[in-house]
Amino acid sequence: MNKKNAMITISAAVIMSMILTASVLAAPATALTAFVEQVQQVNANNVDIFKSAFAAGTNTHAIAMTAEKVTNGQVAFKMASHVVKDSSGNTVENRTPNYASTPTMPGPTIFVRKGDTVQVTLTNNIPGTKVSFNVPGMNDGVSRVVNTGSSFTFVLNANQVGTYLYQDKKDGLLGLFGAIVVDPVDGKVPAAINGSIQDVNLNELGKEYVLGMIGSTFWGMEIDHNNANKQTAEWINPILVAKQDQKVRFHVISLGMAHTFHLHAHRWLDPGTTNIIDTKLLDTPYATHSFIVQAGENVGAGDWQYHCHVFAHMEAGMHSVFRVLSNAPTETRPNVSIAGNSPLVGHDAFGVTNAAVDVATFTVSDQPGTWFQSARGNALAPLTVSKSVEVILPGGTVNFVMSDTNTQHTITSLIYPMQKDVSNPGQFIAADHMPFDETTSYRGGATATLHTPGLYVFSCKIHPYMFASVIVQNPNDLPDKSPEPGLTLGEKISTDNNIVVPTVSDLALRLLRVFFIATTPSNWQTFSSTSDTTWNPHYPALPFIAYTDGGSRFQVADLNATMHAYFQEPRTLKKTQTPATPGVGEVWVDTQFEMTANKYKPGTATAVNATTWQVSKKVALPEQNMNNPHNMWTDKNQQYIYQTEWFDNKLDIFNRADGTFVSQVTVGDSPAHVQTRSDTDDLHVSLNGANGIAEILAGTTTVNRIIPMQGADEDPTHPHAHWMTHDGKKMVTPNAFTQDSTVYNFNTNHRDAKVHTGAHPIATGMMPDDSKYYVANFLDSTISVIETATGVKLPDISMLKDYLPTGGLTGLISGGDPLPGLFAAYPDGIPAVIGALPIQTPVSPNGKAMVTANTLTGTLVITNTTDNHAIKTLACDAGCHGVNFGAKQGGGYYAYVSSKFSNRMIVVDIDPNNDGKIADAKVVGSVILAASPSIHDDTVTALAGTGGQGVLAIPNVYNGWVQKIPDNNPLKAKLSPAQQNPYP
Amino acid sequence: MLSAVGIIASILAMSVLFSANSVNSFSSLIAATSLSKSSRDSTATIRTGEGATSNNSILPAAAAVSAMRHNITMTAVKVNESGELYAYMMVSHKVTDLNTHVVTDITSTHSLQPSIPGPTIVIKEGDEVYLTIRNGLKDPSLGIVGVHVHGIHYDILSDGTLKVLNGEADEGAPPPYEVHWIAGPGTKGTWPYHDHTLMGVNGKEYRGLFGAVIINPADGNLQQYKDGNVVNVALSSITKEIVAYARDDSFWVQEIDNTKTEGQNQTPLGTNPNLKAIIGSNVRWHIIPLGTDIHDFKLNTYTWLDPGTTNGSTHKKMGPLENHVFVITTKNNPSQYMDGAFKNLFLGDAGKFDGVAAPGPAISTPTNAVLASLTERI
Repeated sequence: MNKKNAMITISAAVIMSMILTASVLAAPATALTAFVEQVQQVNANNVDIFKSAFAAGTNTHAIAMTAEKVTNGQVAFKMASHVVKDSSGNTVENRTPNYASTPTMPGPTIFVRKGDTVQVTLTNNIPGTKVSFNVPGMNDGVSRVVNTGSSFTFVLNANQVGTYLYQDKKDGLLGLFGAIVVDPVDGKVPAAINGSIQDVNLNELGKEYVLGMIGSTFWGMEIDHNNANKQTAEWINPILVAKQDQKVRFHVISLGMAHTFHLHAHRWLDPGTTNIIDTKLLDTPYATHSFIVQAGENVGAGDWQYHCHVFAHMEAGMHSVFRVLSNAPTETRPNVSIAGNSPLVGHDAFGVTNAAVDVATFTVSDQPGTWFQSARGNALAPLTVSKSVEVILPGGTVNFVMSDTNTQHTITSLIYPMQKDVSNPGQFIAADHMPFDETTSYRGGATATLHTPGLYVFSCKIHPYMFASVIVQNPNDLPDKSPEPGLTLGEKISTDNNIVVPTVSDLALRLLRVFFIATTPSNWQTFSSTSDTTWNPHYPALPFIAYTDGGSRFQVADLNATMHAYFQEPRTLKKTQTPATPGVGEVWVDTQFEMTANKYKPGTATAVNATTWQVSKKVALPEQNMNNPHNMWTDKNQQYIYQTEWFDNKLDIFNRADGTFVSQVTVGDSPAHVQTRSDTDDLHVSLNGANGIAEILAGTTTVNRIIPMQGADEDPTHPHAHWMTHDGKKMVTPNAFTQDSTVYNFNTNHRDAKVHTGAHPIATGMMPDDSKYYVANFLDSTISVIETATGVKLPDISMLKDYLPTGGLTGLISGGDPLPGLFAAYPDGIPAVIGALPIQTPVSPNGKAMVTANTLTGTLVITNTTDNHAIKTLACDAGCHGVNFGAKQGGGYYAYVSSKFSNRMIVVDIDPNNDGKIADAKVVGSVILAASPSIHDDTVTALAGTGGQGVLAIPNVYNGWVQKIPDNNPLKAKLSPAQQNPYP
Repeated sequence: MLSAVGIIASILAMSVLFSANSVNSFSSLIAATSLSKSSRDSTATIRTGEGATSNNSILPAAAAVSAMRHNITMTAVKVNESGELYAYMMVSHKVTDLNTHVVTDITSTHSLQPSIPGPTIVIKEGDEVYLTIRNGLKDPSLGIVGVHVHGIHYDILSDGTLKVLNGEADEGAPPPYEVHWIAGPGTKGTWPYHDHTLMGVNGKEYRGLFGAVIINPADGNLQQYKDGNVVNVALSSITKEIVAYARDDSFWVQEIDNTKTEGQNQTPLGTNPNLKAIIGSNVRWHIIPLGTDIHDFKLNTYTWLDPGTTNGSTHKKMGPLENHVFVITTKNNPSQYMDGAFKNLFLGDAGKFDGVAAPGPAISTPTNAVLASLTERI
C-alpha cells in the first residue's frame, strides 16, 4: 500500500482542507505531489483562460512552483503545476501546459480573477539559500522563508484588480521575481483605443508581455493567446513582436531601482486615471504598470524602441524593440518574439562544464573584494581564484545588477580589447560597443553584448577599484581548434584613457595582477610585528593566450606560474618596525574593509597612538551600520571625527576621545572626502556620486546646501578629494567624471575657474600658502599643477617618467631573464620615478614635499614642491592609497600612509635629518592596524586592519587649521613653535 | 490619399467603434487620415495640403475648428566652446489654415536665439506638423542630430532615431531631415521632443536638445482644481504658459505670454528663473523631467489638479520624460516652485513664483548668465 494510492481516493473537500492546513504548516512535498497527480487525472485538458466558461472570481488556484539555480548562477522560479478549482472544489482547468518547462525570468505569470484564492506551494531547490514569496499589496508582512529542500504554501486573496509583483525579498534582483495578474471578473479592462477610453474584453488580447525592469536590463516573457496561452521566456532585452492592430497588453514590473518605461510612438491609459501617457515612472522599491495598446495604432508598422528613459539606464543598455509587423502580404516574418540571450545556456570547454555562459551576471555590492561578483563566483573561484571573473563566447551578454549596495555607481569599461580594423589594414580599433560608460552615476545595472574576443575589465568611476573581468573567448583558442589553447586575452588591450598595449607587456601583466589582488581578499598582504610572513597571491593556474608587440601569438601555459616568476612571488614580508622617533598625538586610519560582528557593511576607523605606535581605538558604529568609512576630518577643537560613508549617503560624527556616536547626517550619494573651512569650521563633504559639495554649517547636523561644482550647462563633475585654502576662502575639487578641477570661491559664491586636468582626477593637495595646488590624475598617472589664484596650469608632473608600459616579458618568452622590467620588484628609495594610478597627494604643512600614493605600483613618489620635480620613489604596500601629514615629535612631519590591500600603516619621514631638505625622505617604520584595541564598539571578524584609505593625524597640523586649535588645547602644547605656525 | 468617400466610411466605422467615452468626431476624422509612407517620397516640405482641406469641408458645423498645418524648420547648434551644451533654434514657423488656405508666418513669436528648452511648438488636436531639422553643429564627428517626439502620431520614418534602432533610416540631419506629426486622437496634452541620434543611439537630450509640443484640446476646454472641485477652464483664459524642464541640476524654463498678440511671445528664461504672473490670471504649468534623477515637483501654497483624476495635488513625483500639466489661478502671495528630491532641493533647484497686481507688467526674470552665454556663443 503506497501513499499515492491512498491520496487519490480522498475527496475534494479533504483536499481543500488539506490545502488550508498546508497554508499554516509547511506542506509535505509528497502530499502535494500526490494532490497534483490527482487533479491531472481529473482534467488533463488545457483550457483557454479567457474563453473558458467556468465562473471566475471564486476559484482557487492550486499552484506548485520551485525556486531553482540556473546555469549562470542566477536564480529563478519555475512552474510545476497550476490547476484551477471552482467553489465546489471541482477541478475545472489544468493550466500546467501553458507554462515554460524551465525556470524563467520573469517567473511564471499567474493569471487569476478578482475574488480568486491563490495558493502557491513553493519548493526551494536552491542549495544554501532561503527563499521567500513576497507579493507587495497582497501578502505584505509575510516573512516566512522556505529552506533548501523544503516547501511552504503561501495563500493569497486576489481582492483587487491589477498586476502584482511577486519576488523573493533577498534575491528578487537576481531573478526570483514574476507577476500575478488579477483581472476583473467580467474580463473587461479599460484602455485607450484610438484615443478613446473604453473597455477591452480580455478575449480580444492577442498577446501579453511581461517586462521586468531589473537593474538596467529588461527581462521579458511573451504569453501568446493565439497559441494556447503559451508562456515563453524571452530573457534579456528581447525583440517583442506583434501584428499591426493586434491588441496586446504589457505588464511592466520593476523592483529595486526607479525606472521610467517608454515605448516609442504608442500611448496608453494610465491605470486609475483618464490620463493618456507614453512614459511611466516605476518608483523604488517596487512597482508595476499594466496597459493595453493596439500595436502600431495610428503609427503603423515598424521597429519601435522601448526603453527606460532614465538617461544613465539608456547609456547602460536598457533598451530593445517592439516590432510591429505589417498586415501586408509582403510581411512574412512570424509573429513570434525574438528572445535575448538566456542565462540557462552554457558551453563546456577546457574540460570544464559550462566554462562559458551566454549571460554572465555580476552582482554589485559594498562588500570588500567582491564588489562585482559573478552570480556563479563561488563555483568558479576554485578555477578562477577571483569571484569577479566570467567567460562568455562572442555574442554573449554581460549583465550587472546593483543588488546589494547603498549608493550609486557606474559600470565603465576600464580595459577592453582592440580589434583589427577591417577597412584599414594594420590598424586597430576599439572592440564593438566599447568604450562602455555612463555620463553620471546611478542606481541600476548594465547590460552589454560583447562580440570582440579578448579581456574586458569593468569598473566604477566613483569607486575605481571595483572590478569585473570578462573574457570573450575566441573559439579559435579553444582546445578543439588549437593545439595550444587558452583563455583569450586578445592581441591588444586599451585602457579607458586610450593607452593601448599588447597583452604581452609589463602594463598588461600589472593590470592583471592588481585585478587578482583587489578582487581576492585571500591575496591581500598580512604583515606581522613579531615575525616575517609570506605573501603568496594566487592567480588562475590556467592557460591564457596573449600576443607580443609584434603580433605573435603566445600561450601562457599557467598564468599562476608566470605571474609568480615575473613578480618574484611568493615574497617575504619583513616584520614591521615602528618608527624610532614618536609622532605627536594620534593617527586615524579608515580600515575600510575590516569586517565586524554586529554589522553587515564593512569598515572601521582605527586610531594609532603616535607615541606608543599602538592601535588605541577602533570605531565600527554597528548601530549605524557604518558602510565603508572612507575619509575623515576634525573640528578646530579636535573633539569630533567627521567620517564619510563612501558606499552610502551618510556622514557620521563621533567623539574622538572614546569613539561614541554623536550624529549621522544624510549628505548625498557616495560622500568621499570631508574638510572644514579653517575660518568658519563649516564642514564640506564631496559628493562623489553627485555633482557638488555638501555644506554643513559648524554646530549643525543637517545639510545647508549642496554647492554645484559645474555650471548648469556642464556635465556632472562627481568630485572626489577636495582641498581648502589655508584661509578657508577657496576650495578646489578633482572632478572625477569631467577631467577637470573646480576652484570655488566662498567669498563670491562663484566658481573662479574650471581647469582641464588629466584623466580621472581623484585627489588634490595644496601649498600651505595656497599659491598652487596639485591634482592626481588617476588614469594618466600624472599630477596637474594649477595656480590657485588664476587657474593657470603649470606643466604636469609624470609619476611614470621612468616606465615603459610595453617593457617586460620578452625575456620570459625567450627563456631568458624573467625580470627585464624596470621595477618588477618593489623599489625602495630608488631615484627612478615609478608610480601608476596615483591617488592621495597632499603637500606637507611646511610646503616642502608632496607625497603621492600610487595604487597600481604600490609605490610612493616624493615631489619637491619648489620646482615640481618628482625626486624619488619609496616602497608602499598593495593598494597604496591614503596619505596625510602629522607632526613628528620635536619638529618636522611624518607622512602617514595607508594601503587598501594590506593591514598596516607606513610612516614616511620627509626630512629625517631635519636639514630642511627632502632628499633623504624615507620610510621610517610601520604600524600593524589589525591589533586588538582596548576600546572598541564591535568585534573584528575578518580582514583585520585592511582597507586602509582615509588618514587623519590629530592634531591637524596643516597651515591655517593648526593656528585655530585653541591655545588651551593640550594637543597644541605638544607642537613645536614651527609646527604651530608652519608657513610664516 | 484617401478619397472623400473613404473618409466618410471611416468615420462611420469609427462612430460604431467609439462608445460614449469617445472623443469628438473631429478627432475620429484625423484618425482616418492615416499616415502613409508613400508621402515620404515627396521631397517637398508641403505635401498633403489638399487632402486636409477636403477633410475640413465635411466637418460638422458644431466642430467648427480649423485644422492647421505647421511647417517648421529648426536647427541645432552648439552653444559653448567646451562642447558640452547644444540647443535647438527656430528658423521658420508657418501655419496654414487648411480651411481658408491662409498662411501665417509665426516665426517671430519664437525666440530666434538657440534656447533651452528649445522652441515650444503649440498646436491643437487635428493639426499636423512638418518639421525639418537642420544641423548647425558644424562637426561631422558628432553624427546626426534629430527630433524624436512623444505622444503625437508619426510613422517609423519620423521616429527621429538611428537605423540601427528603427531598421529603416538614420533619421536626422545632415542633410536636413523632415518629420511629419499628426495630432490625432489621444494626443492632446504636452509632450517632450528631444534628440535621439547625436553621438549614438541615445542622443544628446541631456545636453540641451529638448523642447515641448503643446497639443491643445480642439474643444478649448481645460480642467482646473478649485476649492476642492474639478472645474472647466477655458483654454482662452490661459495668459501664461510655463514650460519647465527639471534636469538633474536645475530647472530650465521657458514662458509663453499668451496675451501678446504680435511679436515674440516665447521667452527662454534660463535656469531656475524667478517667475511672475498677474494676480488672478490663469497660468498653465508644463513640467517635464529629463536626465537620470527622479524628481519631486512642488509649487508652494498651490493645490492643483492631478491630471486624469479628481484629486488635488501639492507635489508630484516624476521620472525622466513623464509630463505633468496643470492650470492654476495666480494668488496674491509669493510662492516658489522647487524640486523636493534630496539632492535637487539642496542644490537649490527652485525659483520664485510671484503674483503681480494688475495691470502688471508681470515680467519673469531670466537668469542672465546662462542666456548671455547662449547668445554670445553662437
